[in-house]
Amino acid sequence: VKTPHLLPALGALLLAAGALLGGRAYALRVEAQSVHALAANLFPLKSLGIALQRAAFRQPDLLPAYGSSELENRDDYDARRIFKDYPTEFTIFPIAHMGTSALIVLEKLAAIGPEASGKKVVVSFTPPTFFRPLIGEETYAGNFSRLHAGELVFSNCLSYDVRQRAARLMLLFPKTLESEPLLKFGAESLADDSWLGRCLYHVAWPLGKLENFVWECQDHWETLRYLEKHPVRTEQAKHQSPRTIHWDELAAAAQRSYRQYSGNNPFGFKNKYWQENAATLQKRNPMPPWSEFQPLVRAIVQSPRTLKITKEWQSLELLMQGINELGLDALVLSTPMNAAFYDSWGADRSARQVYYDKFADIAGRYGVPCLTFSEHEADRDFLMDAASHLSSRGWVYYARVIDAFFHSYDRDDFCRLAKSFTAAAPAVASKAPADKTTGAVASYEGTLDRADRDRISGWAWDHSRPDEPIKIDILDGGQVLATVLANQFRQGLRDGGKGDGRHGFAIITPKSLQDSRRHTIDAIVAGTKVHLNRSPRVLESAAPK
Amino acid sequence: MSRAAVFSSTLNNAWVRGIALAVYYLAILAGLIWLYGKGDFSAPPFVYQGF
Repeated sequence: VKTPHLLPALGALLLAAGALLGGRAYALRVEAQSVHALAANLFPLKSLGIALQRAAFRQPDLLPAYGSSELENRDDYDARRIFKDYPTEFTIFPIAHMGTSALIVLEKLAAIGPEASGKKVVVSFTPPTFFRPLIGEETYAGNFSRLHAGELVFSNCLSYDVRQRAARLMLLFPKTLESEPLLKFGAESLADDSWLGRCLYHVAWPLGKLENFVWECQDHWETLRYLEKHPVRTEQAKHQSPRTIHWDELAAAAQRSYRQYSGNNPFGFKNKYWQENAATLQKRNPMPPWSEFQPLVRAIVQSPRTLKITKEWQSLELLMQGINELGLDALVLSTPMNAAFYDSWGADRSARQVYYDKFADIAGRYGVPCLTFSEHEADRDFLMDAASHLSSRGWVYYARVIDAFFHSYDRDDFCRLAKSFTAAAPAVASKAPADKTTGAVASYEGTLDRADRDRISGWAWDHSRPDEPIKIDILDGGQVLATVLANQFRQGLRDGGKGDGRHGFAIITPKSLQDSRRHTIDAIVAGTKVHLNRSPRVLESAAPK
Repeated sequence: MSRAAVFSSTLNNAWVRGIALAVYYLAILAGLIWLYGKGDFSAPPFVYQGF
């Protein structure tokens, strides 16, 4: 035999490859069995690896949610608790770490690859991220995974354009690529638009794929080791307790709970947070040089200019494009800003509105449903701190939207539902008119209780003028049907502390609606864009008499 | 026949030598997998950026 080593070496290679494939199949099975038990936990391997994230995407009853510190914070009413026992047949699978940026989320989603196609996912942000010129390199590095970055740079699922623009953003954080020569070479070649750059990128591509494969195997190995060290009870992980969530009651309970911890400051922040940070949160003249809010507020005040230069918007746009190319069915959320707090610093609603508009504009351009909860800016129980982290009550609204998204059939269906939730409750008109005599800002609350072929009724009032009735526009498909004064007495309203209780309204359903066509009835505070709770709703058939 | 002679004649058998070589290469591959199988899935400590 002229080559005595060839056959034994090939045999050894085949055996090793078989062992690797067998090990991979075993790891996939163990990961699938354990992923439900790990759904609510947050730990580095879950966030920086791929194995558990891909396992979550494969499960029909897990909803992956990517975000930053707002998803990390624990609360008695956070989404992890609300959906813990699968009340509506799913639970949330958060992948979150403070400082997570849109680019980091794009890297993570790109790493999921073709398995992401058609799957639902939630992505959450907080506003302060979008007012920095560039996220700090250490902050980016704290969430960076070479595996995710490698999957993005050498992705099969994303267009060359998205990969190239992402690589250019990744190169703004050179330290993260220093110890990964092949990844760095791939990113640099990709970012280079010349023909030489393209050639070098395509030369590096198979090697990059091979390196990604090695890292993926390492990820499976580390996941198995993690599960060995932290055994999970797979049989108890999917304890299901299906039930109807009464969201309004839950929001009220969360509000009551939160108010026990938030009475010592004018903004509705958590007492503990205020005690620890009051010195930095109150505007003084002159401002102490260490005030961390001054640059943020300055950025918000100058928002039209600031928002042009911050890289995070480029990342968000890239993320939206990536979501589209990956075929994900995504919902993008942003927490609002606390109106009273930012008003006190001089960053008024018009400055903040620039953020909300830009966020919605970018998501809308790519057809991705997005909610900023800006209607809840003036709800003092919605946010627990100045960094726009959710309070108990805020969480209930977030969770309600997430629940509706999970169960929606399509984007239009979800948008219609979400509109009714977010404009509900103590919403404040986006440009609420101030009372000329008192200077009080209008704050409306109300519900469209009934809309059927007999009657359309509900209630509404203005917190700032508790004993004065307000006018409500009743609309059918956007056309005003009637304007009614909400001045009917209801004992329940008075008992519930709604002024003198004279805030009900009711009209006989017009004959024009008594046909067989579908009618969508909307109730809004006249002269504003504030929708009442449970509005719009489809006109129901009259109850049989 | 001495033990050394038995060992030598066994090694001269092509099948035995092939299997020994395969085990040898397999051990090298297993060593490589063991060395490089453990990935580093940790990030540097998070640095709070403030605003």
